[in-house]
Amino acid sequence: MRVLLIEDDADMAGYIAQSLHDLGHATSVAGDGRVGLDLASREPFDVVVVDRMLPGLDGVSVVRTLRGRDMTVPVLFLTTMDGIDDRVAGLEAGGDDYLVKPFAMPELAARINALGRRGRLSVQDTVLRVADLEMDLVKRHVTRKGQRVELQPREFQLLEYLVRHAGQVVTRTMLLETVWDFHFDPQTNIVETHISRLRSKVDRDFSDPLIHTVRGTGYVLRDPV
Amino acid sequence: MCCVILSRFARTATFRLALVYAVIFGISSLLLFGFLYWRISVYGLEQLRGAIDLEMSVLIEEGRHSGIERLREEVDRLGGSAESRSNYYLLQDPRGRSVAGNLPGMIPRSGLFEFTIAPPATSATRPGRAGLSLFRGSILPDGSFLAIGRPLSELDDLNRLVLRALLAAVLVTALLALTGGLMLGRSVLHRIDTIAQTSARIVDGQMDVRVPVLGTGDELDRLASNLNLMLDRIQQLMEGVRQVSNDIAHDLRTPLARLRQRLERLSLGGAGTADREELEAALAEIDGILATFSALLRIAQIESGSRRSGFRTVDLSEVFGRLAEAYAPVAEDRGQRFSAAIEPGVTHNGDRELLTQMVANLVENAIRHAPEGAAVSMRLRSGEGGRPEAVIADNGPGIPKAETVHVFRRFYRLERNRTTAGNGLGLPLVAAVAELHGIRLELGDNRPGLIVTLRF
Repeated sequence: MRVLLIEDDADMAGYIAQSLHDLGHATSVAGDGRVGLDLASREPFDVVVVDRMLPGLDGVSVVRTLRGRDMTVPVLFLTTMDGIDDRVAGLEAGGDDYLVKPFAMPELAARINALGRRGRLSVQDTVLRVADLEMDLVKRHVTRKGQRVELQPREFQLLEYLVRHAGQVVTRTMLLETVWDFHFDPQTNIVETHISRLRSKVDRDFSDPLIHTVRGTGYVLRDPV
Repeated sequence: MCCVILSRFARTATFRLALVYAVIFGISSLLLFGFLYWRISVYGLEQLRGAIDLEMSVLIEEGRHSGIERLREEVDRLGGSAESRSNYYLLQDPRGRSVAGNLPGMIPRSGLFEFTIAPPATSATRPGRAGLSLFRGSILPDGSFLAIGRPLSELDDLNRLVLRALLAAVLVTALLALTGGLMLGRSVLHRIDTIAQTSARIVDGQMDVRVPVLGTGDELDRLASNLNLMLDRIQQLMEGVRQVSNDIAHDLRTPLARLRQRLERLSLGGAGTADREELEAALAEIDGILATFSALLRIAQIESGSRRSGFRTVDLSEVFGRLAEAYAPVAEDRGQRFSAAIEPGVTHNGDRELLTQMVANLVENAIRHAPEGAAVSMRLRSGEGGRPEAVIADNGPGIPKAETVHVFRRFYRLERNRTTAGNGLGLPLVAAVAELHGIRLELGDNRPGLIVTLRF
């Protein structure tokens, strides 16, 4: 994927760029808002990662300008503050996701992956398929190898998120934010508990599991083939 | 009703002060006027005796110079004159026969004595020592007996008049003292009361109120301004502590972030398995510290009240439902029974995200501290006047009553929880969110366990 990183902290930018490069993403770095906006307008990127606090033109203004030019490239905000006021302002300006600094690199990588893939998935699909798993979004039906799998509404939502991001690592925080709308760090293992219940319904009776744990990071739903 | 007000008034310091004032003034004026009365009555008696003695010496002198006949005429004249109707005169010859004056005979004796004269039937009876008179008797050189008497009743009248006046004065003094005491008490105690009310508001958390200073420079003014100085100092110290912890959290976040980045680079890079485990443990430690700083800063942000501007109607039933759904399996996996009774359509004006976190913290507290087999429950209903009321309860070990006041303090942890995970910021955050929303937070004993009631 082609990633544009707009970040004024050179040390941080270098580290992120190197890590993304190691993960196979081609990364361009812009040291301030103006240069970043210029790059984003001229070259096609799959994802733009932008720091909220930038010298010259701040992150929110950069994104607002981009959106004003009808550019739909997915944007992830990096912020040092974790107030929702900040997050809401970022999302209202046209951001698609946000991450509070300092963050774990795998978290950023997972979110960039999720954002980059979004453009290619059709939102209109009413039936999602991964291997022998089929989700009917209209009838709220799930079958595996043609066998009906009974899910609670929240389990359905959780599975849908995993299926939509099949093949990608999704982190606990991503699941908490999108499935439960929880924007805090829980002191109990909510995600693990719900994933284990989902597994017992989706994977237990089948020889080839779809849901896998990525140690220290999160989960991935993967086609066994 | 009136009695209630009176009895309440009787308990006030104003009333007691006025009463003490009145009693002291009453007693001192009573002593003063008693002394005055005593002196006046003694003086009256001395005057009377002086007058009798003078008249006696005049008459004896007259008898010596002009002879006993002249004295007899004089005594008769004095005894019969109108002005001395109530004065008594008597002259007896050496054989004891009355020869002049307005009295029948009496046994001769010299010196001062009191003697009762039966009042004439015509005269009106006087109260008091009726008919008692003070007499002086003298045996003349020829053996005759001369006696002069003045009734004591006049003196009694005077004394009674003086006494009545003095008693009235005592009464007026006491009344004045009572009124003065009340007025003084009210003005002084009103100011003390103001100080008391102000300090109560400060205890309630309104740290910026101050005791009014009148500018009179009296003791109460000095007390008020000293209290204000003390409050300023406390507020400075409190703000200092808060500022320091926020500054530490802020300033350490950047170097910690860099440190985290270096460690992560190493762990993602080509480190060996043993090294990687060490590095991951170090990363987890740093993440713990960063989470603590985040929580501290979040609490500070909530306490600043800035979030209030983003308040909107929050569907509490939805929030509670989402939380119940998320936490029920967590509790069940720990072998706990989880139950939720959530009334639909309960709403409140507030910050949805903060309210979610507040309730989540309480539910997680219950789940984490209650043992296997315990019951955890959450309830939401529309209570009195449509105000939402929520309860989160468990039957775990609970919180000792003596510690309930401390658990909302930052970093406070119960003795038995020192070894379990947690940063001691969960309940302080709950308290901050509740405070921001004006929610009354009560910790109770669930016999056994903890029951937390939220009154919106």
